[in-house]
Amino acid sequence: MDTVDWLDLGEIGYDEALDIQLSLHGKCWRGLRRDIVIFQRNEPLITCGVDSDRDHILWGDSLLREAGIAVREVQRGGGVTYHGPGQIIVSPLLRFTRYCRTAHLYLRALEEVMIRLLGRFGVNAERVCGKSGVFVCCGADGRRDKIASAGLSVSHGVTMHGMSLNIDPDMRHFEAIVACGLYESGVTSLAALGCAVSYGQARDAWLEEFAGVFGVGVARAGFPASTISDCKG
Amino acid sequence: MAMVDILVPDFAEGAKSIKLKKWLVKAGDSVKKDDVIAEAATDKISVDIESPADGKVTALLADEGDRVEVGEKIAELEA
Repeated sequence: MDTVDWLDLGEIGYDEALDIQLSLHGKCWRGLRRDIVIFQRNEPLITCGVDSDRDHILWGDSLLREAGIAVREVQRGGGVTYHGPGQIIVSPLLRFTRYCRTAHLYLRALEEVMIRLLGRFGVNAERVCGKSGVFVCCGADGRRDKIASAGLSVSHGVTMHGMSLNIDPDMRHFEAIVACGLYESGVTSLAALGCAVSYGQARDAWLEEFAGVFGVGVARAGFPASTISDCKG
Repeated sequence: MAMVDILVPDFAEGAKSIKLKKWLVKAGDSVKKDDVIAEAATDKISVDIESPADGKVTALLADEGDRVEVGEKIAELEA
């Protein structure tokens, strides 16, 4: 059984976390280290993937500035997404063809990890045909709100970026965007559904479900998250 | 000298569509094995296309913005 490392960067600036991710990605595809999953939480930030429509950022610069929300272009698939405190962001750097034949099967497997994680906390989550991410049925009208978003990249056969799960973010910040271009779906969170889950609980549940879905062992990476310089260079 | 085809990688199979977003090289450029030469995107996944060998790009066979298929030849390299 393969073992995948994991590293929790905790609360960290998006740009710094991306530098670490890029450095570790380079080591993975060059065969200098084994696959690794990175967890992080970010400052309020809108990221724009390669298929972003800038019209999906609904707030103007001054509103975004007042709310302390920065905007970044990111080399990942998908559209406009919000990240911020109260989310867990998980970025697996995997030679994914070891586990899934195609990139889209890999994406479906990541969604499955989230669905199983949410099931542990009593949330019945699902995929919606033709859309990526994980949704929860909210309200009598059958509307499905997104609780976990996905956006990936593959370079040199190794994945980057991944998924984010809304634990208890400031839901007003989602009003700044049309999340992933989905006008017909809302956004929800574990807290909004009445589930009190900590960041650590979500991370540990994700790791256990990831190990089951991907058929791997997981091990904490051999350098402490506080020693960020160990991850660079 | 050998001609090497540069293909859309098969791991992108299953995507609703694959769009060639950007060329990072032009005909006549020298490249090294593993250099990223193009960026493509499917729904939710961006995909780098790398050079399979050292050599010189002799032809780009698709335009930025084109929809391309898994396995489609999008460039040629003289290795």
